[in-house]
Amino acid sequence: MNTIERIVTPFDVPPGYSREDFLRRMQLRNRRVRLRRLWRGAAGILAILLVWQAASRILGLELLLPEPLTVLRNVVTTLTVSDSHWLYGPNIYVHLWHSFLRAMAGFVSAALVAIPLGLALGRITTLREFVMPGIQGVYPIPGIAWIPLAILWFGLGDAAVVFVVFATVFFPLLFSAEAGARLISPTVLDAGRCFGARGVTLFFRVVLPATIPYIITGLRISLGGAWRMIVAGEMLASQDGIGYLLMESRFQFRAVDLMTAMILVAIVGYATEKLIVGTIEKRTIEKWEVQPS
Amino acid sequence: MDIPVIEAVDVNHFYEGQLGWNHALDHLSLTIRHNEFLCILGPSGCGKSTFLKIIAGLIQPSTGSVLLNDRPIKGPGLDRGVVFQDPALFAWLTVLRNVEFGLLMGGWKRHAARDRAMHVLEIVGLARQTSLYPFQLSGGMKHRVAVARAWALTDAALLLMDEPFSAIDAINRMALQDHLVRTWLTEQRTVLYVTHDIEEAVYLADRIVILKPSPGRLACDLRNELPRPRDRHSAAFLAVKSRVMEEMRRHGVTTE
Repeated sequence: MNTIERIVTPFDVPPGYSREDFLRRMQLRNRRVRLRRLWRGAAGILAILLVWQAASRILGLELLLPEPLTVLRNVVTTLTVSDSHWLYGPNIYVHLWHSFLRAMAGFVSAALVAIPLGLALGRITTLREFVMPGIQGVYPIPGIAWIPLAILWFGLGDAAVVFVVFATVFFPLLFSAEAGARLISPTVLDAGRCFGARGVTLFFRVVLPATIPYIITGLRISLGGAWRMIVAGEMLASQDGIGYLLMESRFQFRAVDLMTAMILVAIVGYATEKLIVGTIEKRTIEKWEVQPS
Repeated sequence: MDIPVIEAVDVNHFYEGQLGWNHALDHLSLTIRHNEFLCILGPSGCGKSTFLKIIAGLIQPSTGSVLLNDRPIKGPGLDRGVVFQDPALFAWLTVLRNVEFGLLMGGWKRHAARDRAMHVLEIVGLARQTSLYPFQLSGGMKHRVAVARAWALTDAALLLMDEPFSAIDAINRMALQDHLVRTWLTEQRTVLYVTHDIEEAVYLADRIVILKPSPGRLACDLRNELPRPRDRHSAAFLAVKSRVMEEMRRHGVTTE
């Protein structure tokens, strides 16, 4: 709908209509499409909830598989910080906030190292030939496999968790930046050089923006990865955070709290992705309408 | 008295192909004078794009020398404006910012660069599209932006155009050629224009240099004194065109 408003070329209208009519019709159609998507999505989610409800009714094991409504009520009481049955130290917001901080620390530090390095690897063949084999050798080690070593190195606590997040998200960020920089159209690069950009200027004015679509893909993948890893890391190496909460609910034999924590992980993960990657996307590739080729 | 803008002496160029060395240019010597509109005309494989890339500083010739205003060419620079076959616009910049790019890189002040870019965009007929992004433009408009981006460089001693309109349909190509001629009449520049289209060469150029392929050699060098703007259907125009075709046949560039 943005495109329609931005195009300035005049266009013809059939007799009896005005330009405004056309815009109105477009708006109406867009609204209808949005509504349709909304209710279909809602119906799909409702179906999942119904299956869940049916399963817990049939099994009748409230302790292991509580009903959706029970869990939902528990989400609300947890979020309203009612401490009627709270068994997990600080309140939920402190847990979530600590998890968020750790995830961001790992994610941002990995992005600051991996993106510039990836761009350099994509553009400088010598560097790529020296460095890539080593990186590809380390890459198959799953993030979780780093946890014991991280605990050994940093002890139980923040540093170990941040480290495993870093070790997980570093690779997708690096590979996407590297591929993007390597695959830049040669003529665009020539154009940059012919119009006076060289060295660092060429890097920031041409290579970086031309690679943004790839970098965004990398950010999206790695942000999801960061959030997954934070849960795993905190289960084993932390005394608070959402992962700790999950593990602790198992010890307390409270499936309802476990599921509540899982739902909160989903919500916060979704929101962070929308907020961070969505914002970057809106200010770059949506405006330029470019896609990774 | 005046130094030629380009003086190429004995330029010889090989590049590695799948089956061995390809001889792209065979001892080509050519001078381009100030404010000349020169078309290099030839079929694919005659080395015309290679020659343009050498002048742009994007490749080094195997042997021979090319002087730009009496100084050897070392790499690309803002003293030449280049228009590529694929418009190669910066997708992340608006039309205006694309045109300003070279100026700002050359150390122009922001407002001066803006004025110059606006002026050139007016000449190519895109004054209303300055705030659009490349994806919002038609193919022809993109090529006009590419021309404007090169034309904006006032310090460029010459403009290099590598078949800029060859991917455009014939009807729009004529419109783009008209735009180019109008631009050139408003602001005379030295232009080196590479093409494989005879009519285009006759329509645009003061001087037509025909190359023949495998290896790329100079076949002949013609003057075209027709006054601008030219009429593609006048008897004089057709006479020049048939002379060009005759020369191509005589030098074995075409084989009919």
